[in-house]
Amino acid sequence: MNASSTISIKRDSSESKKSVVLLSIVIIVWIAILILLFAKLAMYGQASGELGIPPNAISTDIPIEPDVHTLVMAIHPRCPCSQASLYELERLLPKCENRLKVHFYLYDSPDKEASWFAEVSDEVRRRFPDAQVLPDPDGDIARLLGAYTSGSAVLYEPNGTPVFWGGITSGRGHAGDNLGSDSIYAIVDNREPPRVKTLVYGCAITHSYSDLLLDNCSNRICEIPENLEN
Amino acid sequence: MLFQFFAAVGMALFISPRTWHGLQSSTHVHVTASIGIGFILAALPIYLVIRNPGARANQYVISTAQLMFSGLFIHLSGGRIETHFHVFGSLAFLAFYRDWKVLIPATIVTAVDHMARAVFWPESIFGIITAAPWRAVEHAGWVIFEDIFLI
Repeated sequence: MNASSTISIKRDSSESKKSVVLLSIVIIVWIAILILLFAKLAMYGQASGELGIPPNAISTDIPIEPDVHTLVMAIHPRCPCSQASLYELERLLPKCENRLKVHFYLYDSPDKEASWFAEVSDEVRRRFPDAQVLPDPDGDIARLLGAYTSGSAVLYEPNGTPVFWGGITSGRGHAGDNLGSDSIYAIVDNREPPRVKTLVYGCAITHSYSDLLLDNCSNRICEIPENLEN
Repeated sequence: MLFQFFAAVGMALFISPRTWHGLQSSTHVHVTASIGIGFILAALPIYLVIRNPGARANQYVISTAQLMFSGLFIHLSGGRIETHFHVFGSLAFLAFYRDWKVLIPATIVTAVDHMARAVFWPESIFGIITAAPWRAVEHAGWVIFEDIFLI
C-alpha cells in the first residue's frame, strides 16, 4: 500500500464519520421537532372550552318527567368535536336503560333563511329516536344553560335540580372512557359520582354573559342588552 | 410514507375541516397539523431512502416515523379504537425487515407517547385519572407482546 492510497482511506474514513455525525444531528433535530409538534397538538386537544353554571331549576321548554333523569345537551351542528360527544352519549344511553331522557338544543343561525337546523336535526333524531331535538337560534338557550361550548350537557334530577354539568369526552373530539359519562351513569344509578362538573371540549356556541356585555361596551359606557336584562 | 401523508391530510379534511365559533369558522388545527406533521414525518425517511438506499439508519428512521404516523392518525380520528390497529399493522409491516432491532424504535415511540400522556394528560388516552400510568404500561405491554411473536 503506497502513501497516497493510505491518505485516501483516511480521508474516506474521516468523511464517513462526518456524515454519520451529521445524520445523527439531523435525526435528533427531526425527532425534537416532531415531539414539540405532537405536544402542541396534544395541548390543543386538551384545551377545554368555556362553561357556565346552569340555572337552579330547568327553565326551558324541556319537560321534566317523574322518576327519570333528564340530560340536556347543547350542540353546535357543525362542530366536528361534538361527534365524539354524540358517540359517547350513544354508548351511555343503553347502560342507563330507561332512567335517562335526552334532549338536544342545536345551535342555529338567527337568520331563518340560513338555518342549519333542518339539515342536521334528522341525523340527530335518527341516532336518538327518543330524544327531543330543538333549534336554538343564536344560542340563547345554550347561554341560559351556561353551555357556551358545544357538547356541554346538564343533567337534571326528576325534581328539576341540576346535579351535573360539563362535557362527556376526555378531549377535543376524543371518544373513549371519560369522567363525564361515568359521573352521569353513577348519578342515574344512584351512586356517588366521581365529579359533578367536568371540562367540556368543543367549538364555541356563543359568548358568555360577561363577553356579551363587553361586546356591547362602547366609549366605556356599558349597556346590558335588552334580552339579558332578566 | 407519501401515501400516509396524503391519508392524514385527507382524514383531517374529512373529519374536522373547520372549527366554529358561533356562525364564524376557520380552518381546523387538525388540517394544518396533518400537513405540517405529516410532511415532516414523511420527508426524512423518503429523503434517506432516495439518497442512501439500504442503509441501516433508514430502517430506524422509518420505524420511528411509522409509529408516529400511528399517533397522528389516532389523534386525527379522535382516539377511535379502530385506528389503534394502525399500530399493530405497522409493527407487522416493520417485521418484513426481518431484524428485531427495527422494532425497538417503534416500541419506544409507542411507550413514550403513552407514558407522556399518562403523566401530563391522563384522561386523554384512558378516560380516567387514577391508575393511568399502569394503563400505559399495559398498552406498551401489548405492543411488546406483538413484538415477541414478530421476532
